[in-house]
Amino acid sequence: MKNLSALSLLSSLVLVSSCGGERNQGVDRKIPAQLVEEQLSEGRYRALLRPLNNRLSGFIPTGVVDIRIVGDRVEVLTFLDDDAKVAHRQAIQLGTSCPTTSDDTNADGVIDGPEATRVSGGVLIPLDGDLNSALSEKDVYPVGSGFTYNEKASLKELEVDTRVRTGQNLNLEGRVVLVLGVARETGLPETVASSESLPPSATIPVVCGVLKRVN
Amino acid sequence: MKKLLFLGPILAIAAQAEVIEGRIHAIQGSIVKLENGRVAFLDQIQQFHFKKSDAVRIKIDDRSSVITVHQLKGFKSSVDLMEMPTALYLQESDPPFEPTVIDGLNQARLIFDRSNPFYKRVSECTDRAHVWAHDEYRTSGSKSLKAFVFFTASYINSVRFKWWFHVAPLYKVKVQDEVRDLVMDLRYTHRPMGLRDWTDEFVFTKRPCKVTTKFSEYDVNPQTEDCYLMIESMHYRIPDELHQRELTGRLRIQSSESELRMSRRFAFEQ
Repeated sequence: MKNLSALSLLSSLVLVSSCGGERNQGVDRKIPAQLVEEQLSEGRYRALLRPLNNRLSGFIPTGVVDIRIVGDRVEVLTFLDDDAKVAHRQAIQLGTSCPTTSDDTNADGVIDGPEATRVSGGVLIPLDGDLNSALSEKDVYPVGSGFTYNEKASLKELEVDTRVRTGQNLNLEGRVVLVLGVARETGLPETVASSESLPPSATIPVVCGVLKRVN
Repeated sequence: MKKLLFLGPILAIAAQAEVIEGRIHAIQGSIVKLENGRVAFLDQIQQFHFKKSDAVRIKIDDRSSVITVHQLKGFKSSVDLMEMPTALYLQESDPPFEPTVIDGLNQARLIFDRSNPFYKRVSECTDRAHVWAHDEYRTSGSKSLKAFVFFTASYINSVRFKWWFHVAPLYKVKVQDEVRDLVMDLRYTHRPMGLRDWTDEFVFTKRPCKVTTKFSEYDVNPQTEDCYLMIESMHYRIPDELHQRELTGRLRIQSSESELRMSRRFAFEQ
């Protein structure tokens, strides 16, 4: 019942936000944090990021996502070894499965953004320049053929932000992490689709992994 | 409102020229192969005065082209630091290594899932494979094999591949009435994989790798294939050991503790 109440309240807040003009700039920080179901416990979560679509570049990217939750502090560390010097959008997804070649539904040889999203779900938490909120202005992502990303956030703020946007709890266990972006000059079939208004090359997943609790 | 379009500034984590270090395994045409598996291309510099076994520090660009090279004095690789007691070896006439046959795909999946995930970002496949194989032996007593795939110069050139070999543990797995070879390559694959699927991950042409038992067939051939495959016991860690076996006829029958400690220290978080 507590969860339902929380969801109901948060849903109404989203509606208020949608219609209210001023509030649509971000999350209402006055949401009582205790109404949001909390991440089950402190711990360390790790996803090994394995290559997807690696035949496009002739390189085999890999990476790791390491998330530590201690008290109210969430620290996210990711690294990627790739060869495309582009911005790499990265996010924890709502789903629990990484796409495979069988998810290339139009059989063009590329698992594109929309095809990946159908399997791995939408974005739960963007791993960008402001981990506390997906609604901030800091939608900045790491760039480079290899990068290390390290951001911290408040667990409570992250839980509220996540719940308001997605209606789902933060629970990390089993969630998918996707990192996107191949080189702009990559030769892509015309059938490759894109998410949002981005060029297709920016939303092609290059690595994927599933978060597991490691201690 | 957060912008949907990616227009904003990006985190300034600029790509740097990469530096790789190691002893030279071979120089083939415009390709320099280091003992640790890395490859550098000599297409951007005029002169290269180094030779096999020289320890070098090479700065490469994002296409693995050599920018600068310097000789390393007093360089010690994991190979140099390894103690090699002769007790690790037997002659070819001794009984062959017998890998354990794992009972079913579920058991194989368990082995894959309990492989140590805390490898370092910069770590070598030889060290990871060695630790994974021996950790499993300690855990369950299962003896495994190693799958070595060697990429030829023609393949490396055609796709600017960054390595000349790769290795991962391989297990014999009984599935119904047949025994399958499944590779457990935790860093690059999501699941245990058949050999052909595994090599296809690295060989983009999807040409099958020629299976061989002699390293020299790869090392000195005219490079008409894309890749070669060698299946060896879990005790072989690096290609040079395969080469030495061919030259001396001595087989590795176990791994030393110091060797394992070294691999663990190089490749995994402590």
